[in-house]
Amino acid sequence: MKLGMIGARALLLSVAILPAACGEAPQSAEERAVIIAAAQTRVPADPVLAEKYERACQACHADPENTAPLSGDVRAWTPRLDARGSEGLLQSTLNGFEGMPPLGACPDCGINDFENLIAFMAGDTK
Amino acid sequence: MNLTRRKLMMQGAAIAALATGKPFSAFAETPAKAQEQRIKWQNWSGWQSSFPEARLAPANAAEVAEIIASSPKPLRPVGTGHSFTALVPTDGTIMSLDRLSGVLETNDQTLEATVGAGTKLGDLGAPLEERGQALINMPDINRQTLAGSISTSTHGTGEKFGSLSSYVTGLELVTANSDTVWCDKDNQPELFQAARVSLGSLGIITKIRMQNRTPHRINKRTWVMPFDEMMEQADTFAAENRNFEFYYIPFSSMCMGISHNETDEPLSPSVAEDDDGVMTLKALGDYLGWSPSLREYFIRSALEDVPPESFVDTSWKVYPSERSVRFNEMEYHLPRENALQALKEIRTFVEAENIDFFFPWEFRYVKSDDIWLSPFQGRESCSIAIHRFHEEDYKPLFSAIEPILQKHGGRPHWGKLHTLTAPDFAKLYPNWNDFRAVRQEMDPEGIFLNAHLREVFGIA
Repeated sequence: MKLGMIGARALLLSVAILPAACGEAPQSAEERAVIIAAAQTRVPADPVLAEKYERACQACHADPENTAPLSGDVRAWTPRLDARGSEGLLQSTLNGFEGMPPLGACPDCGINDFENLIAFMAGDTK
Repeated sequence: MNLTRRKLMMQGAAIAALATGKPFSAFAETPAKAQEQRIKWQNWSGWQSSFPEARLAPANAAEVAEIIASSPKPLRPVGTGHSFTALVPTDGTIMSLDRLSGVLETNDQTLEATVGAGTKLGDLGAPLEERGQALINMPDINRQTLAGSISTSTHGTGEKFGSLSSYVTGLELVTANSDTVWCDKDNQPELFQAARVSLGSLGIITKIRMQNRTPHRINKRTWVMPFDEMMEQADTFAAENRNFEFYYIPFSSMCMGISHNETDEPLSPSVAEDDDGVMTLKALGDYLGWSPSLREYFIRSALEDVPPESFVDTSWKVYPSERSVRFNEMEYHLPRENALQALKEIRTFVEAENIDFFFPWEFRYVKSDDIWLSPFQGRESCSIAIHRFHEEDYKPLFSAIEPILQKHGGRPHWGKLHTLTAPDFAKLYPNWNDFRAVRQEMDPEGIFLNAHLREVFGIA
């Protein structure tokens, strides 16, 4: 294949940009199915927060085709929290990150809303 | 192999940015999360911003009216922030249309649907299909709201299809006086003529009635061909396909064509790309930083390995593409007879000057309409869109290309970057003063005008 001679460096670059599963242990199909099913049904207990979650977050964070970490997928969220902390994830939400627009598609959310939504998606069940 | 052209274009640009050592995903600066208790609003690309005093999301027209009466001004509506121009930034109130969402009413006889103005295009397909309807045509991004789309004359491609605004048959807006008004071709027709493309300057649009059609399947085909051959055949492709567009990949001499045609074929949805596609993407980016001749050799070699592909799905799943790499964009709509020549001139200029530039250029066809502020008013058009990675300053590149687009009679997309002001628009739009008169009547105090719109309309 013509691309073979440039494949090695290209591979390094692809690792840098592909967001999926860096540093994560392999996941079985059964485990993945359970996480997807949970992501597609879970909502915050607080009805006001739930309305904002359903309006702004759920479309991407409950979609297994999307590259965003799934809601409630603790294994996907933990390395992100370890690497950047909750403040880092908040800043990503405020500024936008990869496919996520600034303010995380919730133009009327306040700081507390964003912090609570991140905590919920990272696995907090409150 | 399933290498969607958007993924090719956008991932290729991402790789290219990395390959040349430029920042990709991290923001160069991290704004404070609050300034004087205010949170920064930014558009999708992050280039436009403001610290509004209030950010509100009303659930119905009555709440919209209350906000208009009582909240800080200027008041600007926002959909999903996909406009690159400064249509939204304000220190007053940003009003999200997020909660004015959903299919509200359908007419089985006329195939019209009344929809909440804040409904995202991507949230329209399934509920419309359940009711036996589908949008007649769609753009290739579906994250925008319907109100934002029609307010800027957002469009797809296809010489037989106008912009989304051209399929609006009525709309409701809440005025500066907090009155709720419905307009269509029989009720307040002058307001209707103005409101279908109005930049959020006449009031807050709360409901939109769209002319739709029956659900249908689309066969989407993509292929690669040399630039010179595309220049020869593009108009034929446009005539022979329901929808046709193409991309030119700078410094490659290669184009990627995309066609959509209605079909009864069985569904064969697109699947995730395999390693061959990824390798092609890697190669595309890895060599973009070299000299023009090497660039062309390597990119062309990579593209020649991309085979034609096609798949079949229901229309609303076929048209949109993901945009995982943010960018800023300039798009001009040119008289169709001038557009290919303009594209050739842009290519000659950019490649002769070896301007550092990765994103492919998009070329689309749009049918004429009769809407006062539609860039397609009175002329069959082609659109040329130029993208710039969102962390790079777009101004040097866009300011170099914009004169070519203007020379060929281009009108800028209202939501995409340009440098025109009121005197320019007065020359480009035959009904410019008609619109300004309606705007003055609807909002004499200018509560819906921010600094950008004051410049656009020439109001101090």
